[in-house]
Amino acid sequence: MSSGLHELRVSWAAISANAEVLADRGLQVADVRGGAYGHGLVRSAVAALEGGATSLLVSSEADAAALDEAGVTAPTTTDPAGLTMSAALYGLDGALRPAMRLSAQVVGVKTVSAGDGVSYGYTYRAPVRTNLVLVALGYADGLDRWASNRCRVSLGGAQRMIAGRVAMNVHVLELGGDEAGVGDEAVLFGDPAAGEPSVIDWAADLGSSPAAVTAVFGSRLGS
Amino acid sequence: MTALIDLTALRANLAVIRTRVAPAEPMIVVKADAYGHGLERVADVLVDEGIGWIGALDLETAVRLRETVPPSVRLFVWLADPAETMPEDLDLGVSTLAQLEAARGHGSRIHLKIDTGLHRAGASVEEWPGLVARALELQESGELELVGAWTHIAEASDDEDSAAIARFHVAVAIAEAQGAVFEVKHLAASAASFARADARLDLVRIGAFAYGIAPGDGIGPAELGLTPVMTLTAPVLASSGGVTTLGVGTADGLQERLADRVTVAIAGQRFPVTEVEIDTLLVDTGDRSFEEGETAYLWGSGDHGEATLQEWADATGTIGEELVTRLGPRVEREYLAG
Repeated sequence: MSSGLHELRVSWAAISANAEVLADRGLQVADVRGGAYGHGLVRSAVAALEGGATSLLVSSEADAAALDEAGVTAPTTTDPAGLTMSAALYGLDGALRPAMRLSAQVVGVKTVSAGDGVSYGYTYRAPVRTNLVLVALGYADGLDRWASNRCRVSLGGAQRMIAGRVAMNVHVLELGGDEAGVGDEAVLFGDPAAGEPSVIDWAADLGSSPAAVTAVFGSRLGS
Repeated sequence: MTALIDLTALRANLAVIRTRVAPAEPMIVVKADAYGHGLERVADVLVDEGIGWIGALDLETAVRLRETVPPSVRLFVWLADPAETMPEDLDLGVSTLAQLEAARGHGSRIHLKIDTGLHRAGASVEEWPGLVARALELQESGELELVGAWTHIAEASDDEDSAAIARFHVAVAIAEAQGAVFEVKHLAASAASFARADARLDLVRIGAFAYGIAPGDGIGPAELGLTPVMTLTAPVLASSGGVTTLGVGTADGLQERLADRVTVAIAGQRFPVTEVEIDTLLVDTGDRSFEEGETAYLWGSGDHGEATLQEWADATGTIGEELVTRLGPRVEREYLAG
């Protein structure tokens, strides 16, 4: 993560647990391409091996060298042929436990009147008087601009529509009559078992694959 | 994969911008790692060209810049984490009383923000006089310095922008009647700074145009006298049977929806992108095949036959800024000239 304004967390325990389930089904190769789909190449590889994977599928020789340098000794390949632990390893298949959680801080609150436009181009107009929050995450952080007026973010226990165009570093959520404060945490996706929205639903609303969503956020905000 | 960053083009764009917005002064915006072009190298050029204002957005960027940028260059920050300690010697955009309190005692120069219709940040008309009054009190007690008034406009239509500019002038007049004296008033970003003399005021905040990124909808950089600074390249990894695989993909920030909508240039000829995978792009090269390691050009100056960033953005209903700022750290930046 780049600052306290947003936070990207990865559960290595979830990756290990998922690997264990998949290893029991006979899968042995952990797919850690694309920086382990944004979950972090080395630590994801270690977690998958701890869970029972025995070899790794990597993006490039450079990634193989990086793993080697970090002391990961399992065999690697760049050939994607054959069955691998892939989306399911990161809980991106809808069955196993999602490993990535992304949240961002509310940095502003305001109330607008019916008919007021919000953000560039005024692509959103408030249907009625409504409260809005400004959240510190934008397209430069990997929040696809396509999510404008299309995807929802969880805040204060409910899913809130992104109002107007996602900007480079911020987006706006529509709260209706509900209230929120500066410093509150908005959750884009996390662990559905803990009542948080699912990255699978997020990706579906976006018309993207969950793995592409986590890969980009991880590359921008991962440690 | 490598983004070629043409610093000569950046200098040329700065010259065009200065001429176009004079006598207003440009603040060049370097948020999001200088729009993906690399903060430090871009900032070096800005300083060398005598740019007096740099828009940093956040504290992390400002702190990085303060180490290398001379104190005479003003650094503007407008998205600060309230929990962080404010460094000294910054220009700070402030929308609320709470932000004003957080800025006390750090030698900050304050720019008060009025909401003129964008409804993201900025004080409402009701909140504005109270915010101004408190800033004047804290200036009186020496805890900060009030130097600016500013806003963002929505660029939804000329009429909407005219209304926003009028609201801004009303707010400034109210503040001046309260005793405020503003060194700088600013509201325009790239597009309005070029299009509207009445939007320029003292200072214009230029991001996209400095990097040669045009606003789209048919207007390319050339129409504005600007030169694209970034050219994105990727190596051929494999090529056979009409399918050529390039080493760049969604993990680098490219979106899946680019498939079947954009082209890349290889050996001076354009070919359609058919699929975007995690680490690779698949390109339909028909009856041609290419050597491993050959360079493919995705978007850029056009010198190698490639499309412009603008064409890529228009093809997927977005803006060039999104494509360049999504590029991840695996994309190397290589600097040309300086």
